[in-house]
Amino acid sequence: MIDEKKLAKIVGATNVSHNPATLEEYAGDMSFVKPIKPDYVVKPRNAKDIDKLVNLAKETLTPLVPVSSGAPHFRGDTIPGIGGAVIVDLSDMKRIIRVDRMNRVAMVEPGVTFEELIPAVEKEGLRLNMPLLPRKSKSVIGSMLEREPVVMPKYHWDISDPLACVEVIFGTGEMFRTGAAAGPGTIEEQWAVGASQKEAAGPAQVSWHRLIQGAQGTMGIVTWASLRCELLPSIEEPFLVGSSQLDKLLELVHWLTRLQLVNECFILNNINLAAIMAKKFPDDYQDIKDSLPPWTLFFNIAGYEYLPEKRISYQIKDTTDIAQRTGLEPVGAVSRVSALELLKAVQRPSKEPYWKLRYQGGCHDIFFITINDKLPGLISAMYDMADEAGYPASDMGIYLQPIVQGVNCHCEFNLFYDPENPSQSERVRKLATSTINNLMAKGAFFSRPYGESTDIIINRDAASVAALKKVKSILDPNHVMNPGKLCF
Amino acid sequence: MALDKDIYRAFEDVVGPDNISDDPAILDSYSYRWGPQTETFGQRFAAITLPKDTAEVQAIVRLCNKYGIQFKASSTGWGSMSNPGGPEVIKMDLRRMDRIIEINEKNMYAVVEPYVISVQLQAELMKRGLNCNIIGAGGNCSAHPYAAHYGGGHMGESTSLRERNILAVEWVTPEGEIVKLGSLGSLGEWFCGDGPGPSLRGITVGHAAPCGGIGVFTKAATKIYHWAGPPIFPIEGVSPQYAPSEIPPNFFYRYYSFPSAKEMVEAQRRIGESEIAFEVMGFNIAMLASNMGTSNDEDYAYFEQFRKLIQGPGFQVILMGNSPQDFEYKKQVLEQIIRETKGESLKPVEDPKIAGALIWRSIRITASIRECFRAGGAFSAALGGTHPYGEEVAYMEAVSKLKKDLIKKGILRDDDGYYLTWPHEHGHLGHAEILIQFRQTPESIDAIMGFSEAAMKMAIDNRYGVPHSLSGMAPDMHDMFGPHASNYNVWQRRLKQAFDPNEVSDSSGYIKGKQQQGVS
Ligand SMILES: Cc1cc2nc3c(=O)[nH]c(=O)nc-3n(C[C@H](O)[C@H](O)[C@H](O)COP(=O)(O)OP(=O)(O)OC[C@H]3O[C@@H](n4cnc5c(N)ncnc54)[C@H](O)[C@@H]3O)c2cc1C
Repeated sequence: MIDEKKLAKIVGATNVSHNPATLEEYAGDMSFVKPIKPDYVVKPRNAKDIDKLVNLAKETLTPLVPVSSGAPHFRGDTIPGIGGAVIVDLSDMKRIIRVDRMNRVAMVEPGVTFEELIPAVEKEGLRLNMPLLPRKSKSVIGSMLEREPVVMPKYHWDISDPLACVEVIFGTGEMFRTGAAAGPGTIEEQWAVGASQKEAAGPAQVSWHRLIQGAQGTMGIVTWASLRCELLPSIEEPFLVGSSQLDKLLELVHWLTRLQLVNECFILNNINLAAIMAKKFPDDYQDIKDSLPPWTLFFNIAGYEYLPEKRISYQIKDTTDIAQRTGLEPVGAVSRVSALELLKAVQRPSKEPYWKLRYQGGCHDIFFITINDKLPGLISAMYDMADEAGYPASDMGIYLQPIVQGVNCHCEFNLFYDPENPSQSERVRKLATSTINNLMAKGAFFSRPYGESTDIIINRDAASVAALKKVKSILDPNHVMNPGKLCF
Repeated sequence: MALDKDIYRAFEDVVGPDNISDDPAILDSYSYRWGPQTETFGQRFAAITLPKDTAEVQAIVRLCNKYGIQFKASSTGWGSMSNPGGPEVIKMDLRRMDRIIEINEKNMYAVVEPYVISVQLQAELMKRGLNCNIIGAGGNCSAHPYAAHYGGGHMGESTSLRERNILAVEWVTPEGEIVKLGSLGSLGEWFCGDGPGPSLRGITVGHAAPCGGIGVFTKAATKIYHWAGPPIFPIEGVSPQYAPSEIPPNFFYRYYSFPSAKEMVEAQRRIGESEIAFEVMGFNIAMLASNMGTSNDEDYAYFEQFRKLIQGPGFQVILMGNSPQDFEYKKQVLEQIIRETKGESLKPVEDPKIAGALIWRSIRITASIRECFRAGGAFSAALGGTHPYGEEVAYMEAVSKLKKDLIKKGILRDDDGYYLTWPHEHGHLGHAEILIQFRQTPESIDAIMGFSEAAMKMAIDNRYGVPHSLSGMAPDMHDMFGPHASNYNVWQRRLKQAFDPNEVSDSSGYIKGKQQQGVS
């Protein structure tokens, strides 16, 4: 076991804990991943602390598990994969380092949450392209490093967006800055000549940020990141389109994203929309759910600095024309759900309790990337499998998020369940892994594998695993960074 | 250097006797150079091979590892980076791999082999109401996203740049493994290049392409974009007097000049933020004149004419309306921005005939040869990074002073010393470049080498970032820059060593596995 004094010397005695209750908190999460208790939890105060911690871990071969967001966690990636680990909880690193209006970029430390960053960028006339209703404690950096889908596909040019540059301490104990932040010069010197740490790729012929994203902390610890921001619209006009025909909605989404007409744009089934909009459970939830069509598309049209009214009015005309061609009608409200209310909700993190937990107290997500044509087949396969497993289809939320400007679609099945009920939990646990192969066969690409199903997903392609292991051997040769995750 | 007979035969067994050659005439045709060198023909390859598919590429790579011979792959071979780095390098000319494998209209991607050229892909896409990014090197170059230098082009405002458009990829590593990135490895599908887990796209390309230094990319999927123009441009006339007969409906062209770079960049920023432009290209008037002139005389006449009409630096804008009302809105916003930033339209190019021709050339990317080579037969450039505002402009201002000195000395073509900046992704990113044109004489070459060195040093000393110029040229430049930029040279070298332990993928445009002596 690592010497507590050494940890305390780095982060200060008050920032090291091996209090059993605290360790218990980090030993498990809401996923089905087997709990493993860490030896310590440390809370670094700054990049220097992190640097020293990684170097100490390297010398003592101590596993480090970086955690940026606060609890509850859902995917098992922050549970130690082996014993003897030290949790590096970055949630106290809360500096918003810079918001740069001209270059539309912000720079933050890992502990900064969406709730904290939104007002800071808004002050400068900017906004974030963020995931759908992240929980209150969700770290902005955590979300970007996980390549979480974002709600405005139009501004999602590349799957790595909105992440720009990062400063990282690799498992070797060496500090590195990716993209434009690499240098020459310190970050302050770069600012002085007008630079903004916006370009993610590079330096030179490698895009290091792509190797850090999706790595679940297995390559190094990010001490800050910069991110693209978008302009705050001056006016907005949101719409809902309800339908029982998913293929028609997908056709409409294709044109809205292809023509880059809309900002926020996603589809929810009635279960998820009700779970998001209901104020009281279960009555309110049930009423809303029953009153909704099976599928609802949400999109939002925006005007900016120049002639905003004119822009909104012609874009409404253009979207209405397209919708009519597909036999659909955008409206301001579908049954009891108003587009405006939904817009307000999705431009902020989730209210407490977290929307996924409100209905039954637990939720397991199965998610993957696919393309629109494959969605109907995948959804019907999932219903069949849920049915076979005895999981009620009436409890399964579905969220479809066009990403990468409509080239891909993130598909998410939200299996709501009562974690206090062992048979329900077991049913969901089984469903979570048993469905993977079948979904892959039907075109589901699990680009972000977590927990028990990781092996089935990642071992499909031996050549990629071998290449990833080579990368790992360069960035974390001693396997101190979150061992046991992915193929490492 | 000629290959040993047995080794030659081993390669011949892979591609067949018709698809390998070490005939000096053939070798010379692959060693033509257009950069700052006095000799027209540079280092010869040891042999040229023409593999027909991924299996043959893999077999060649494996033989290279077996015999300790280097290879350099190229797609259309337009770049000097596709030349050999030494005498024992064999060429993999991928011209037989020329299929558009898939155009997925609904999901907006295309899958290409290396010898599909951009205008060919674009022509197929336009028939389907779609378009692709084309690098500024020209529509004659490969549409394959790895066959590029930095990967940007005129339409970057609406079609991004190559590193960011890449989806799934088939990669023959320097060790001869076939790695299929993203959904291709998991499912055999081309729609996503990232994961499971960390994205291996990261090791294949950065803010510049790997320029042959990390294996062969045999197939790649790339994002495509909406096109609201005609399926085919209606062209009239015979080359070189040929152009579209009209401006397509809902298209608009203008060239604007500004009192100073400050207003010009501000106008670009506002255009980007208002998301109105299909293309914003920072041509200076010399490049504009080259686009229009069908001979040297005409080119110079246009240049002299425009020189008297402009206020200062400028750029061209193309608007494309997806509907009549979209078009009207975009025009109105553009007019307002230009008014606010004191831009002035260059009147002669408002003529619909000229504007129509410029629209067509700037979308099909037909004029890069004229822009770069017409004046003196050779060109070079100092490139910034991918930030459109702030430091890139400061860098370009500083480098343009060096350029103006050389113009004064009569070494460079006098184009008033202007640089180009142009935005990508509606101004989120961008590119800055200073182009120099010259005649290849010993005196000019010396001066130009000095210019490039000074531009690089300036980027380090003044903290202007790691410029694109650095990649693809001399590999030891990374060792000069790296210590000032997070030691990236050390990390890139570690990747090179891990993925190419025998150093068979010619590193003359990348980083060498072993650091050269005397370079810190
Ligand atoms: C006039 C002119 C203008 C230019 N403008 C631009 C510009 O605007 N933007 C820009 O990015 N570049 C530009 N370039 C630089 C560069 O020459 C081109 O980007 C590039 O060469 C495109 O040509 P190509 O498709 O024939 O590529 P090639 O010359 O075939 O290849 C370019 C490099 O990539 C490697 N390569 C090619 N294909 C593969 C493959 N399948 N697998 C592995 N490696 C491969 C080659 O070894 C070579 O190093 C310009 C060059 C010229 C001459």
